[in-house]
Amino acid sequence: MSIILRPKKIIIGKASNNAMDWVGIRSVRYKEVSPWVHIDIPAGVMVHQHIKSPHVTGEIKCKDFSQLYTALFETLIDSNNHVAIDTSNFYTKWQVDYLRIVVVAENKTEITFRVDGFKVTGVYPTNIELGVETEWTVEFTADRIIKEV
Amino acid sequence: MDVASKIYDLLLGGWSIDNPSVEDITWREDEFDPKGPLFQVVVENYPAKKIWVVDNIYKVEHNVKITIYCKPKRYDLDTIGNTRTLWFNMKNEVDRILRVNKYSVADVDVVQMRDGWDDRETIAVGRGIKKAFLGKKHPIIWYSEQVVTCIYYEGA
Repeated sequence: MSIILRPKKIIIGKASNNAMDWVGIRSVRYKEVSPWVHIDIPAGVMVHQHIKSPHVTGEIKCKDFSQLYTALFETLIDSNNHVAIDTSNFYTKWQVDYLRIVVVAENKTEITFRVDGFKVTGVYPTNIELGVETEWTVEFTADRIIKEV
Repeated sequence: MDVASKIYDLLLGGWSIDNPSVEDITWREDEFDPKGPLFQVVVENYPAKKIWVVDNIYKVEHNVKITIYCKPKRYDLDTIGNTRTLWFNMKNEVDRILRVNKYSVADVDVVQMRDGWDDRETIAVGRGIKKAFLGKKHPIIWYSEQVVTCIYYEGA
């Protein structure tokens, strides 16, 4: 039995031996997007049509901007030495080769989720307000998220 | 589960300051020791509260009270001032240990700090107020308590 209690860290980089620990994650949320689109035929059966590619969308929330900046803007994430968000010329987003989400279940058991095809779609602060800690939201898409064994 | 003893071990093991050092403090579980010298730390359990989660698993919210006692040796302003510094050092050190070990206490999933320190009737400067149960002949004892919530899961 395992009940997941909290995110511990995200490991982002080129490979397991060349990655950084992004800590201070407050929440991780994702959901699968159904590839099936229902089409209603008048006076007939409903037809399922497979027109969207299956993928996952999600978001990561954190408060520590320097960790976020290091992870997404400075850490090298593929064999061509790209970073996840390249701001050198344009605002280019690259697919991350190695990304793992480590969560902690009860009794300190760690579970690792492997995220294939992680790509940032957006980074934004939820609010910048006097006297309130700003929460940063990172929206992403991925091909699939599975438990790593 | 006896979470108070785990918090007790944590504080004793993690104590890193010299003013006061771990040997300067009398450490007690469950009960105040009236023979304790200058400083005393008492850690005690409150009853646990259990919430059903799934199957035979319960989430347990177990409060632990940490109390710091201090008996100034004299009541001149210098002694009061110096003792107060040590007294604040102790509170800060307890807070620091709890903060850095939020997720790493053995068998406890989260140690949640709640409302901080409560000095009750004692005050931190001057002569304070005598605790009623000690009677008028006894010296003044400063007193500060903090309740932390330990969350863990049972039956998994």
